[in-house]
Amino acid sequence: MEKPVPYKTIFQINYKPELKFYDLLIPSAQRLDEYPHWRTDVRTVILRDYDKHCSIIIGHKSFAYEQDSEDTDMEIKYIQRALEELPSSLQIEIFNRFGYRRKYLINVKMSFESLVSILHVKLFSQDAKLRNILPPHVEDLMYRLDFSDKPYRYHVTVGPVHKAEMPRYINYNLENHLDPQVREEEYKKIIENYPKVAVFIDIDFYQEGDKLKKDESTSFLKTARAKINEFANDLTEYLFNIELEA
Amino acid sequence: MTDTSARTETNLTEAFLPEGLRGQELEHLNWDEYKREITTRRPTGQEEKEAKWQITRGQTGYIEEVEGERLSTSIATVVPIGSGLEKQFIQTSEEVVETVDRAEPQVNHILRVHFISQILTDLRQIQKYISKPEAAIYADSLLLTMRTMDEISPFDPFIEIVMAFHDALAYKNNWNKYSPDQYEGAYQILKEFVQKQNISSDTVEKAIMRFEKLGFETTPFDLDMEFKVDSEKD
Repeated sequence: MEKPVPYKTIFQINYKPELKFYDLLIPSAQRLDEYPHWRTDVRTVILRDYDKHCSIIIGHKSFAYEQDSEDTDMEIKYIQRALEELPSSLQIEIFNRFGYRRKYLINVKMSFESLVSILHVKLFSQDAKLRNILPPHVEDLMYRLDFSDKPYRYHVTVGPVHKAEMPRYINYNLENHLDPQVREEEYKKIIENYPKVAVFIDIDFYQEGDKLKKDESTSFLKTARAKINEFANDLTEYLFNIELEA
Repeated sequence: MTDTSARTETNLTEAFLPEGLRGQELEHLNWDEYKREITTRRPTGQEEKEAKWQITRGQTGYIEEVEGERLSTSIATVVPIGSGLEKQFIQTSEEVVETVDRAEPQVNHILRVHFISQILTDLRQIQKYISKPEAAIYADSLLLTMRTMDEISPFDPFIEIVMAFHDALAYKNNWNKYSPDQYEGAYQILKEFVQKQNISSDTVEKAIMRFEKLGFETTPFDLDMEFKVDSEKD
């Protein structure tokens, strides 16, 4: 059975903007010396690694790590570094949102129409009354739900995608994750390597609060990774299961 | 998207017949055997409503016309057992059905397991509550799932097995008359056959025969299918 492949990961921490931030922005960014490229304006610093296809944006009200890569070990390492360095260097004690988001593709060896049939049967009601109301042939669909599992919340989107639609849903960060010298060719290759037909899963897991503390960010991150992995794997198993349970 | 209009435009008269079966080659076939085979395989009233089809023996002695929604099934079932022609018919009929809106085997398998899981759960509950009012709830759920499966995966040959069992249960509320042991047997049959990758007409027949052996009456009512035999040659 195909497995869900993480094509994009974003980790973001939001905080209340304060005036002292402007003096702390550049020194904070300098601590993350693993990123070879950078750009800045008055309100943000962007640190980039074109080879590893990742970046971090440090702003006046949030910092966010983003990667367009399947390398989860790298993601763990880079997010950990950001969490160790940035809150203390930016002198932030209290946060108001932690967010962790992953976009997956499950490559399937079937036609788009067949995939739509499976998702329709497995994710939507097959009540005879409803089916009588709706037109007979489902051509395309999208499954979109928000959940809460206190203190956490989810935005979830699942749907079948054609290769041509994938760039729009994955939303590759061209500017920060590809070298400008070879950007066009590289991106073309990336698009060519997308599967013909896939299930797109977008899980945005987050926690909001007026006084979230730094310690909570670590436990949030651990929980977010575990929950999202479990969600994506279990959903894949559910959608394409061909074994009867004992 | 698949062009579903092909379903009504396909010329079935010649399209599904392999070369070797055209014309005089079918002369020796026993049409009564066809009839019996069809009666066994397509026993449901629902089928009759959804897929009206007609088989005639023309001057040259081959199947002249087949119409209907369930092309692969209908075509496959007109082959007499043991004639050695089954595979050719089935294979050719699949080629025809490819051009209409036919699900891939992998999709059939996934959907089959999905529905059968629900059916097996209900069967366990019926066994548990047999002869009690609660059994009716699970019987209703069971029959509903079977009909939904039939509507959603009409091209899956496994549906033949499911609907044969459905008819045994649904007709005159016969589900109430079977014993827990019979339900256990039905559970085991469905569990065994749902895992088969390739469901041929033989497989379908074997499964239905096993239901019959357990005492499930899979053809509890008569059919009103029309078979026209061209009398010119007879």
